[in-house]
Amino acid sequence: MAEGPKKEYERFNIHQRIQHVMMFTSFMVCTFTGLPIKYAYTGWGSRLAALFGGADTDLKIHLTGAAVMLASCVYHLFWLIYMLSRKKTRSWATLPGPKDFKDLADNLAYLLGLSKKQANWERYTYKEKFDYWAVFWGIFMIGGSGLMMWFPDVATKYVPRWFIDASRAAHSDEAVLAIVVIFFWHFYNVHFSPTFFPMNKLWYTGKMSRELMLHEHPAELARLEGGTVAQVDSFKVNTTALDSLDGIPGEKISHKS
Amino acid sequence: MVWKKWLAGTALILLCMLVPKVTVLADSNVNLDELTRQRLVAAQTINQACLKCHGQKQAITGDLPGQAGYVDSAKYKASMHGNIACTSCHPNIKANVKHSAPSDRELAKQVDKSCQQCHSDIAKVYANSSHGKLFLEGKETALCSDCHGSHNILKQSDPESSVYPLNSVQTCTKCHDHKFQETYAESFHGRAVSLGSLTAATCVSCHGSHAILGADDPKSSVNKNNVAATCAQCHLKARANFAKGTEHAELKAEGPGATTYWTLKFFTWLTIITVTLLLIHIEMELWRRYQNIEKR
Repeated sequence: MAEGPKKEYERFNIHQRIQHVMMFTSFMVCTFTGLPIKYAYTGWGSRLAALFGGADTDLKIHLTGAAVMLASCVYHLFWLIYMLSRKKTRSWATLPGPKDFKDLADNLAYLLGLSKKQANWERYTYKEKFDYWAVFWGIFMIGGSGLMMWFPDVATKYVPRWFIDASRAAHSDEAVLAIVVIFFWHFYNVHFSPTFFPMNKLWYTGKMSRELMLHEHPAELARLEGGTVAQVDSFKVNTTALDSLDGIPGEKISHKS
Repeated sequence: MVWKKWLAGTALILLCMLVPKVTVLADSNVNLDELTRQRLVAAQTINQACLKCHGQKQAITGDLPGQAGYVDSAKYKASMHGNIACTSCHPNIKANVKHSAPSDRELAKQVDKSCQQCHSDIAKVYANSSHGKLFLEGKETALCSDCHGSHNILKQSDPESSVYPLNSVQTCTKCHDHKFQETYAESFHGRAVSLGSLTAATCVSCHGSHAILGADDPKSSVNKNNVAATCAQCHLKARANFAKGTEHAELKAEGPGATTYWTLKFFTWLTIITVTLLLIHIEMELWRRYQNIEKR
């Protein structure tokens, strides 16, 4: 790999990228087949269900999406066990820690204009950790309640019927929460943010350039390169232009290492 | 065995294609025995005479309330009973100009007896049902025509039929409390049916139709002791846990719907708080980015 500004660091390996693709494709399928069931009594709800072939087919597609999503969850859990069991790959970077609170305080101060320095981001920012654990919680809430509704004759072996009734409410309401968070928060962070518009290509390349690392994860970069790096304000850079390396209107980035 | 159904279906289609006369014969009177043919001809003659007046709105509703006495002849002929004589169900009509037939409920009760003459098997089941018991006591209740209609009776599988799965909930809630309709509509079954599902449960799937009994009756399909078996009609196994909950539970802070109610409240507020915080975070970022541009 070339040294210098073109140097890239892998952030997501092939397993993580496949898990993410499985997750977002099934998420979209379940969103657009699930909303018509929640909003069955609206005009758009019934038309959307009709688009998927009516109530019964809509549900079948929804369950297919659910199966893929649960498969990605199982894949991820097995991968986690494998990753954590090997000394070479073991990493606890996704766990929340005291640094996240410091980062939050630093970042809020920066955003409010009280500080000129951005937080010194490590491998995962608190925003990314929030996304990760939100999916973890969501999968158990939505997947668990969904399975109970999918197989009520199995679920009633263990839980009373009123529990399944309540879980149906949890299923669709937690799903709406997930939908809103994905379409506003996650889409802002990886699509609409001026840094990444139209998208952060990391989801299929799995790699981040050294320049971007300087802006987005300076503390990690310093750790990886065994020294210190000059942090660059990520808000002052149009990084979309970095991909083509044909210069940035207005400002030049300086990087020392 | 899907392939068996497929094979049978293919064979049937081929048969219909090769022998088109088969379907023609089934629709005509040619193949019927002489007695039946004579009956059909007689019925046609009678019906023509009746519908001469009763098939015309102006002619019949002049001195009667609403559209009483009027029969849409096209709809009647297309109905299940279209080739049966009017007098089969209305035997007491005398052939004079102004035959004084009882109106509305009295007429419906009278016709009910006519229904039972042919549909005697159903009549026995109906007599033991909640509706039937009230009928025998001479009280107001659901008669055949209340659910099935009168001159527009169609097969259950016909989308126009009042007892077609997608129409049946409306048919029951003509009389039964609106509360049941609302709680049903909220349920997954209700949602699926409103989106056009023909497999999801309607009122009659759980409550039964002609044999319907109140939940207090030990023989009722919705009696506490039979609920599990009733659920298992579709949901495979008759688990006791199926009965530990309330169908038609209202979403209120207290009562059988309380767990669902508080779950809804929890997730509604979780969504409102989470999304508000995240949107504030996004706005702050955008504000700072804008400030940075200004300073350039």
